Amino acid sequence: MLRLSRNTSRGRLQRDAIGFLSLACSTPLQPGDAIVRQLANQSNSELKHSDMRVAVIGAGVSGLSTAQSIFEQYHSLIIPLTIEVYADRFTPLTTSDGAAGFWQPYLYDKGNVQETKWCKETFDYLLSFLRSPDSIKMGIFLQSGYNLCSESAPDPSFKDSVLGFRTLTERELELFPGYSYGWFNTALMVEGKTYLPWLMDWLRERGVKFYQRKIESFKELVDSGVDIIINCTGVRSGDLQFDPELTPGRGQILKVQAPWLKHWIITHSFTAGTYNAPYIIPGSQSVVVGGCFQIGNWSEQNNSEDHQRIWEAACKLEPSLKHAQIVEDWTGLRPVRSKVRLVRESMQSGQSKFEVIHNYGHGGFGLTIHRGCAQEAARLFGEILELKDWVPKSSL
Amino acid sequence: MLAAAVQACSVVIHWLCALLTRQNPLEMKRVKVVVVGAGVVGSSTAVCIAETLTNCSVTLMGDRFTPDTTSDIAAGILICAPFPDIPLERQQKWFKDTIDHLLTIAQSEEASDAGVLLSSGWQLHKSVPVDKKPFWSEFVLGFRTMTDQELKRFPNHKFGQAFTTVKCECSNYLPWLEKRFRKAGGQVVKQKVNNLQELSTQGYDVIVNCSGLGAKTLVEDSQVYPVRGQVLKVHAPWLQHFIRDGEGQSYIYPGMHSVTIGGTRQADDWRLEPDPGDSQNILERCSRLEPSLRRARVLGVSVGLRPSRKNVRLERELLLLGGRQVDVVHNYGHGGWGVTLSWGTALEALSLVRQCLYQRPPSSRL
Repeated sequence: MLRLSRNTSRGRLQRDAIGFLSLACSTPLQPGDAIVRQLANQSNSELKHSDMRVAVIGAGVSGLSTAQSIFEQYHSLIIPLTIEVYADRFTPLTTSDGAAGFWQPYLYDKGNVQETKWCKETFDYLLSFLRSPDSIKMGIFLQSGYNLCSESAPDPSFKDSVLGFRTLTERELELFPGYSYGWFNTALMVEGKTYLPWLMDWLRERGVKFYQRKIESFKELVDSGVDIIINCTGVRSGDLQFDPELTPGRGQILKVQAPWLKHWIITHSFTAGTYNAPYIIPGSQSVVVGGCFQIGNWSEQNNSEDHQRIWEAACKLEPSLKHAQIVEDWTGLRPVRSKVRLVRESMQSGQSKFEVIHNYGHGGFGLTIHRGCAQEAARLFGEILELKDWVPKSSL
Repeated sequence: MLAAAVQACSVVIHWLCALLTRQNPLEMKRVKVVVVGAGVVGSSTAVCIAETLTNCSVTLMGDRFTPDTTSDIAAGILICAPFPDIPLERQQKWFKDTIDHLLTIAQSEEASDAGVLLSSGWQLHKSVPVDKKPFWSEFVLGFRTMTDQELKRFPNHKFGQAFTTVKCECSNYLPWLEKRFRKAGGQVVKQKVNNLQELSTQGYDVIVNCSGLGAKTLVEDSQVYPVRGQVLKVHAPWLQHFIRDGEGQSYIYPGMHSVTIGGTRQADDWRLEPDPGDSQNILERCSRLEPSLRRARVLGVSVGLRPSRKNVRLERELLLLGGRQVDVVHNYGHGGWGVTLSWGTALEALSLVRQCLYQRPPSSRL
């Protein structure tokens, strides 16, 4: 069925022509009528850049959610809008899949208030699905728990984003010898192994195509006719464009069976650094035990010394783990950066000018911040459209 | 540590008594104690006595053992309502003693064996209650009123309380208690007790009556009556919080291997068979509280009869049974709060047994 573009110049031409003809005919014209189709085709040839090809590189949570936001906001404004996702790894093999799926930013945003805002936006977005029975299909559920410190510390940046945030009582601290301060709150889980397939289904149903291959350069895509590239290549963004601020933050986790645990426990050591202190995060299928954040380490192999260290620290924190069955280890490389790179860049390849929107460098909080960043990337997409005159300013 | 100190003292006193009465201490008659009822109250009481009064021989006797007791059906969440005629401080001590005991287990290596876990969640009210803080609020962890943001998820409720309590799953806890009981020298006997005379004939000196609903016939207590409770076990591993509606009509209690949802409170209803209408009703009510339950697979349905009484009976009496003076300590009628008050009432029952023993003639003391 022919769909009329609502707000484009082409759309206006179509409607003017149809309106005139409707007045001339005794019966009103419908979009499916042959004459309308003929008119639309004629209008097409008079305009340029009416359709658009967008390539998203990377199929982790950032790539998929950015594709979603762009589709949501522009599929009715740009027709046709072709979105393609290119990646060498798809769920369940991405970094997002291996992560525990626990929504929590780092304790302090160090002035990156924009990131705190995007994290909160993501929390509110995920929370809105909870009243729907489909929240299971998305891998979203609530879980409460403890953030523990060995000394008193300022309230974390996310205190107003989560539910029921409060300081720990004396009796609660007695449960965790060695820790003298901390907070309790209810947060969200968004499990990558469920969320990513849900996102892919969502996108596939709307005509987004997926291609499994490693993109070696932006030029490769531009040469094939892609108009805008969304770069969500995570830790390996450096392969496409050198970025001195991007570095891997290697994490190793143990997946164990401990179904009696219903709270996440995250410890913080201001000397050891973020996530280098033990943490225990129960999920819907297993419990993730971790506490490893090695900057600059590119190894994706599980390391037995890390395993030992993580396990011993976790058992000290939670003695009941002693009887937990260890299922397997997993190693992932967090795409660490001083701050998230979420900007658009105009580039040139030979004679072709093209636009890239970068959305990478989410460190250990990719799932936590994904929606806020995806929406921002979609906003940048809109900026590009304005500049290129694809859509008049008034319709955005 | 306290148990060890008491143990040491009782041994010293035993030998002193022996010296004073010029008897061979090793030939002094051991007091025979029988605990009737092997549910959570009986098992807890038996463990307390066996571990503390080491010169008693303790037998745990019942016609049903785990997994066939009422306690096995219970979700085991520590929450309760007060008994009307018992001083609040006494009930508070029962609650505190139980939760402190279970919290220690939850933080130990034994937690999974014993079936004890921490559980956080929300208790919801359709209107603001007169008493915003239940009598046990200072004994659970982090008790507070729910925020407006938290209440948004429950549009039919105007007020709520958030806290962390303990869940104690009897299908694990009772076998764990039994192990502890045997380790302390206890004997387990499967036997139906028809009346207390039988036990006197069998030579027991002290009877601890933890027979629950059975007390109705065992000691002819007409105040005891069943309150039927039906529960469903569902597969919903994404649920990490308990949700309880006001008076406990509807509740969702995530456990180790399944989520228990319920319930019913049908007084004087002796039916042990599941009622499909009740199941439907429970699923409907709980799904309104937690919509994701509509996607949960039902694993099974069970029924338990809460051994209810206006007030729990925890007291001692001296009875003449079959020509013998027998001390009887009653510890029954916990209704829906058996697990919640198990250790606290067991400790009080222990102190009552100790009183019985101190009031015996010297030759059979301790």
